[in-house]
Amino acid sequence: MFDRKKIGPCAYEIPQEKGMKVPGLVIASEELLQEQELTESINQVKNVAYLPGIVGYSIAMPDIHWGYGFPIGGVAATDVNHGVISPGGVGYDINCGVRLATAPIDFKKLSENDKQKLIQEIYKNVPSGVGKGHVGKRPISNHEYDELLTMGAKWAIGEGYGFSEDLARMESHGVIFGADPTKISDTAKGRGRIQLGTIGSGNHFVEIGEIEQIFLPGIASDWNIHQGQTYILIHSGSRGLGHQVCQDALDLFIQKKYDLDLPDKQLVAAPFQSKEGQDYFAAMAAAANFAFNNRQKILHEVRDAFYSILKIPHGQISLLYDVCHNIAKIEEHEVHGRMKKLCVHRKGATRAFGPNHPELLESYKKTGQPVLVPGDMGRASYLLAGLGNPLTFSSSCHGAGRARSRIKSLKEWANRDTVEYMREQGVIVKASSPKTIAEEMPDAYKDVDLVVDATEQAGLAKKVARLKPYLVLKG
Amino acid sequence: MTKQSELKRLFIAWECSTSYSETFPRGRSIYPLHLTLAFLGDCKLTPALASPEFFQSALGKIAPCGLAKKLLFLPENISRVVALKIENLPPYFFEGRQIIVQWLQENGFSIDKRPFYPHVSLSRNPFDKEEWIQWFKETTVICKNLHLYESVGNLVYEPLWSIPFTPPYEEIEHTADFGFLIRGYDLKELLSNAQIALATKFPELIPYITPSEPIDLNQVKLFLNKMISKVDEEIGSPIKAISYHGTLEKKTDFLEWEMIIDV
Repeated sequence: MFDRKKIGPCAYEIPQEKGMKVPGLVIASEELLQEQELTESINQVKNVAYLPGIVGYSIAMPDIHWGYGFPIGGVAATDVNHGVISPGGVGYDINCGVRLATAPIDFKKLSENDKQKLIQEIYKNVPSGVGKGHVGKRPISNHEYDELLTMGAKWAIGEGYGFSEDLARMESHGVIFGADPTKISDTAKGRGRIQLGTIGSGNHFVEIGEIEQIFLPGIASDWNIHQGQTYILIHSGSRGLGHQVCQDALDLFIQKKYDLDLPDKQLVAAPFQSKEGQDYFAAMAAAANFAFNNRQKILHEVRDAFYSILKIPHGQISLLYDVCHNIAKIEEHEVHGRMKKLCVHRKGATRAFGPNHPELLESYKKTGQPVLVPGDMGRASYLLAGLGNPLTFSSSCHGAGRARSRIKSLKEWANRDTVEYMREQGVIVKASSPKTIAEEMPDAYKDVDLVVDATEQAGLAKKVARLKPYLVLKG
Repeated sequence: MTKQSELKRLFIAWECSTSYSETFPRGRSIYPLHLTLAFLGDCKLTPALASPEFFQSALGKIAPCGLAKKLLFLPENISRVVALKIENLPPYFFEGRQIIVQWLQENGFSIDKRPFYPHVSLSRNPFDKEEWIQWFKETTVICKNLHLYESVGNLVYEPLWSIPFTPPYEEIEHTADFGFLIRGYDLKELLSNAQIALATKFPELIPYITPSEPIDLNQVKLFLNKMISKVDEEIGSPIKAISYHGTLEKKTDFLEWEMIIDV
């Protein structure tokens, strides 16, 4: 176990060691700390604290697990004037994120036949798995490509994939300003070209289920959700385009020797105000805009499926919120009593603005921002309301966090019918690869209830609803 | 004069595995799969041959690995064996074999003089050639231990001695992604073994494997990432990037690198 000092409920400070510019901060319950091997991830929290210009803490969320460079579930804020931007602090899948929508029908009212047909239709509409792009559809032109990279989700809506009301229900209204498509390599564009509207592989998914429990009826009412209602959760990112943007920046930063004073090359970081830093931010913003469009297009395909199978009009599938959980955002936060403009890196962490934050839609100003926490495909996901905790630069957890490696999960489920097992648990799972299902079985993840409880006790966000998945399309 | 009963049908071979997960088509499957270095025929197990020390010193520490891009039917006219033609083997594989062959000849063993074509037999007749051609997919081939085998008939091969070698790569635990320990005598081989490690897990990468001569670990990572980008652009890649995490460890006999892969 690591050296730590309790500084609040579910909050532990890691003392500053030589080379660290700030202390570490781990948000977790004792139970979470005891049940997992944290040596590698805590070392990564300490390594992140070496970043030039980092302020506050190098932070780990309750869903922290071992990444490379940054831990997954990590937050680091750097001063935009004197600090750095780190592509590894954003991650390869730039603006990997989650969106939650609701349907105007209680899940229990869906017949077994409807459920089967619905997931089958979504499986048909939304390409998933390795290398799956939209076949036979018109490829986007270069001009269109540049537009979507600049405009964000507004582009998809202009193309008929959604409604203008959707925009207000997205983090940053579905666009990261400052995007510059000319800062993206042709290779990156090539990787993303046919991947718009696709889930990808790994832990990405489309999940449909029932709002199982409401914890805060007032907020639930404000957000127009109720117990028993059907929800749709979509998890995907910027696909190959984002990966290449990250890779290109890492290659360049290392070539420029921006890694020399850091304990791990994957943390390589350029001064935010440098040409390399600014170019990366512009490319990252463009990749983030690709991801907003990607999730918008996937939602459109899901809306198509609901209309096709259940005759629910597209407009009645309401987007509740869309969050980024791999991103660097320019935000103002108080540091040592003074407001400062910071580059907040969230790698496997979700922004969780509290009530009255000026960026939020009126309906969310009253309640705090919706925070979406996908769990695993068997147990639950959560909808939280952000509390804007200054300790974590208004950040919260982003999921359950992996507890078991992909190899271990594959071994554990080798020669077993995972689809049948999930069906026995009441969950219909579809995926292009059975291997993906084995890697993503519920027991490969921490218990999301514990993660969310720690998040709430630490005062980062509060529980609004527990969501129970029943139909899952995996990447 | 040697009695017939003292003669054994012997050969020296690497035990190996492939990336195939599916069962083979009809035929008499060969188990364990092996890559023969020297076939000795019916001969006596002399004390020198019975001792594995020399063979270990001739072949170094790391087991070799390669690729199979072509199926062979041997002999060509009236085929009795289906085999994989093995390519991309490292130079030390051939150098080591040469040392062993020379030693065997000096010690009175009769070794086939025909040119050596590395191959791994998969099955013996009866088999349907067309069925195998339809089934065939490119694969990686990874050697494990070296054995002196005795062929006791009916496709049964009994090891008389075995030498363990360090694997060219090993999959390691990583909570969120995948990782491998990659080994090689130099950077060129480290890159080659890293490519084969990736292709063993994801055989669709095999056509994209190409040699290169990196000058440092950064170049190894850059080369691998370029390969992944190309695969993703053309057919979709199951892996997204090689991370910059991990440094080169200089072990006593070889280089080692912890390769972490984003999926």
